[in-house]
Amino acid sequence: MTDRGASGARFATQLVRASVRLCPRRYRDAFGAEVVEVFAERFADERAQGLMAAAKLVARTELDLVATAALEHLDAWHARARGSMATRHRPAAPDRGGDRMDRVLQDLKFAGRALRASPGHTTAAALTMALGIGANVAIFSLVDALLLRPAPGVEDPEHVVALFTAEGGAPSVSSYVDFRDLEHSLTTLRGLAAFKPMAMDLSASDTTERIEGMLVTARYFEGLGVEPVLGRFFLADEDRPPDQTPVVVLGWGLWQRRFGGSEEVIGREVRLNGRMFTVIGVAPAGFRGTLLSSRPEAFAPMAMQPHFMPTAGYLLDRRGWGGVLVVGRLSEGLTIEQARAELATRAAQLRAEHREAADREYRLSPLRQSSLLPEVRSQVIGLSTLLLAVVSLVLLVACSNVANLLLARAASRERELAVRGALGAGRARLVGLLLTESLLLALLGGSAGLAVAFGALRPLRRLPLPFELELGLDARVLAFAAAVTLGSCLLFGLLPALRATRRAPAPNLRGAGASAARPRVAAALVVTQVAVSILLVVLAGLFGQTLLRLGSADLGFRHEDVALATIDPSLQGYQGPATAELYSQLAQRAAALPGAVASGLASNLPGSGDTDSWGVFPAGAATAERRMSLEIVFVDPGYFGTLGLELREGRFIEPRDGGGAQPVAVLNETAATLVAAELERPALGAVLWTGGDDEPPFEVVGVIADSTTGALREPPAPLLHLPMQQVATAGLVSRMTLLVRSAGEPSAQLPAIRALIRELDPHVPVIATGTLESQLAGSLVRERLSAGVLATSALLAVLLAAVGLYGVLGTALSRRTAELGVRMALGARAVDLVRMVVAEGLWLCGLGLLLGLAGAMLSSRLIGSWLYGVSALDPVTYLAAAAFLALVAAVASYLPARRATRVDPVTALRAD
Amino acid sequence: MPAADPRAFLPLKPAELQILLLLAREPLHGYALLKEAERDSAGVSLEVGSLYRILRRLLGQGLVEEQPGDGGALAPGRPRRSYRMTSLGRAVAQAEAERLEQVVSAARAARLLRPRGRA
Repeated sequence: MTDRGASGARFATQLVRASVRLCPRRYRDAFGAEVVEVFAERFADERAQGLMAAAKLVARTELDLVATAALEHLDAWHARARGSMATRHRPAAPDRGGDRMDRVLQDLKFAGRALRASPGHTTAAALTMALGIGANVAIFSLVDALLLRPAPGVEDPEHVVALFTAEGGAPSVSSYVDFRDLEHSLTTLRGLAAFKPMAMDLSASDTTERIEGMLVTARYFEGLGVEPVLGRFFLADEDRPPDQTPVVVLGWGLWQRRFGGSEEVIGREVRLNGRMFTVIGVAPAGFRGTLLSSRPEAFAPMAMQPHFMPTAGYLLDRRGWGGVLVVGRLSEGLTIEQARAELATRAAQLRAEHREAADREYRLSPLRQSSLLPEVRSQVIGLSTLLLAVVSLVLLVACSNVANLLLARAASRERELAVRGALGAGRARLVGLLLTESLLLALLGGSAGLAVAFGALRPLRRLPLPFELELGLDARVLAFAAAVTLGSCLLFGLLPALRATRRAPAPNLRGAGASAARPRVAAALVVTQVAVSILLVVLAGLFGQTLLRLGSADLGFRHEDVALATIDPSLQGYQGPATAELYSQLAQRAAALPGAVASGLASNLPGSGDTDSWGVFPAGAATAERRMSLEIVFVDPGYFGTLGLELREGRFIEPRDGGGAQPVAVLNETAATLVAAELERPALGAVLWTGGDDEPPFEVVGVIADSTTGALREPPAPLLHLPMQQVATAGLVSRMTLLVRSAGEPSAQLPAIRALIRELDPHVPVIATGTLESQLAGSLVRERLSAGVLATSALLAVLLAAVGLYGVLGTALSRRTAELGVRMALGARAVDLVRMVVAEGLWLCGLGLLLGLAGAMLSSRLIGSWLYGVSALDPVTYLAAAAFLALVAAVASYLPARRATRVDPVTALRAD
Repeated sequence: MPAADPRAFLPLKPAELQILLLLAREPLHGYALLKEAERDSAGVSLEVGSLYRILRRLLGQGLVEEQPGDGGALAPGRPRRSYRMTSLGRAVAQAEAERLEQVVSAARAARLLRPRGRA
């Protein structure tokens, strides 16, 4: 079987396995696995016959399984009703299920026959529903993975909570010292543990690689209820700064990858950031911590934090610093509310006792809701709401399309229904029959929708998110799909069913024409459809423009053709001047690489959004009132030229600003404005300092133009550029990124850059390489992602809406064939009739347009924060959308109108 | 335990009879049952879900029983389950066949079928 075939088989098997879950337990347990296996074998047979044969098998199997599940449930229900689950002997009179079941079966049979009788119509309706349901299921599975699923590998996750600290803003990381206090004083939580994601350099054998790691306190694994697959986890006394060799627990992946899954690994020593650690255990395969954003492959004791962050060795001692995440397990039988109550009391004490904690709030949230930091989570919730709203609109349009198709069909089945009514079928029975048809149709659409969703998951999986998502059709997603399917069945089925069965049988038996009531329903459908459509066209237009503008946004610097490599020599023991020397060597030699045009160094990249803030004061005035918060960047002289940053005043940092020279700084315009306001003098020439007694003041020698410093639509942050050479002597420089602008494709430079670093010091590992372009794409991901998915969904809805509008108007018109015939017979000119019909269509559309535009304006508040470079009330978009829909409406009314007027009046009169 | 009266199980549904007839010759596993049923042009077309629904009923009524794995594993380590007819199943199938024979005779008497003869 080919690769494509293999993935098709996987999907088909997954679908069947999911459908088996619909069956009652006794069936599932006895035969579930066999059903899937037999199906897989049959699928392989049919696949060899061709794609169509395989697809037919899947469709037949699915329908059969759904029916089997229903019948099995009925059987089980009957068995229970008889008060006995014993099924060894059938009673003498075979039980065929009673009246109700007979009726359901009969309805199912009729419904199936009716659907088969008009395959074109059925296919169109099922495909429409498949798109609507598929879009919803795909988006829901994304939301599920981001927001609803608890971390895998955690025992009894419902009783695990996360603790966040809020200090003025959104809840976020906590202080380790606070954690220590809480750990000892909270009785409602046991196994309270702190952890901190930490990149590590692992050397074993000859190679060094950068891995994701995690610093954890001793009871981390205990709190999460994780058991080692090999060896053991940490003892309480191993989370202390040790005199001897520290210990490490390996993640499953690393153990397999680097140590071949060998049990000999226990007791072996590995080098982490230059120091030997003894391996004591291996975590289980499914466990990857509790955060979506990190997949740790090694766990080291929290006490080793200073070793991994030599320039921030104080995090564990100072209450003023945040930086760790905290999880804990609720004590036996307690609820999260009880834990919150205790925490509130304890928090009040902390606030009273410690000045640094005076403004802190401590929050507990269930683990399930804590796989993202609260701030990120609330953004994701905002985006998810919007996405779900858009795909619900898509579904609404799809339902309205199908409702219209059913209405049209109900018209042609009037006589059949009337006969049934005359023969004694009550209205409830007729509605039941029609709804059964809708249900079958919805199930068809739902199954195909799962296939659509499965297909959509592939591009969704490839999204360049900052973390890997395990997207899949799990039980929750399937339940959602089922709910959407049933809901939409009612939505598109109920109205036509009630309509179709409303009238007394007699007139229809005689075959009298269209009722007075039905055009009103059709008109309502037209108005709804147009209203929802215009809303979606406006959304598609706005998000499409956002997507375009994001791609061509002016960032304030030249981001193309720049290769990047990040290193951190402090991990290998480099300090002070040695660090500066290594970096300047690197920058000089990188500029001389073949093809290189310019090169520079920076501690943080523009647009990456990860900068440190410093408090800066006017020289000699380190008081809290005069504190200015600036984001700092350490750079070398080549930095400005490499990025093409523009000078506004003064000069850039130059080679002469070395270790011994007068300390200097360069501000961006935002920072210059801030400084000028505080000092009440021009920023150029101002003297600032960081407030430390042993730190010299520095003079502002230049001001550069603003550029993007974080998220695109946020205003630029105030930036303070300091010469790397001058701060390196103070031991502040550790990790830096080398930027190399080249004449050609930047990634072609990367091997040469790596070789260059190896040449300078083979032990300094390269932490990351790439291009500035891709780095920026990464930081623009949220923007692109949201705009892209929204634009795609809205576009899909527009297509459905256009097709649906055509259908709705066409149907409304076809009912009037007889009327048009009469008018023609009475001498009306075809062109007048066409004009009349088109005018009526446009009038209805106009009403829908007004409603839809009003809706779009109301929703502008909701979508405003997701747009870039275009206003949520952009008049051009609104006008274009209205014009587009008016055109669709005109075409949709004109074509059928013309056709109707070409019909011979006599034929038209006969039609009903 | 007194033997159950085979006639209490009549009439069988066509698909039930079909499964019993296939199993009358030899024990079969699910996949083979479907394949055989497909080949049998007079039979009812069956899908895997319904097949196991029927098997569940026949097993429950004691007309069919499991035969322990006979090799040919579908997945390594998991024996493929085969099903065989019990003696009660054979008696029921026989009774059903006799009943159908009467039906056929009645059909002939009513001239719905041509009298038996050499084709």
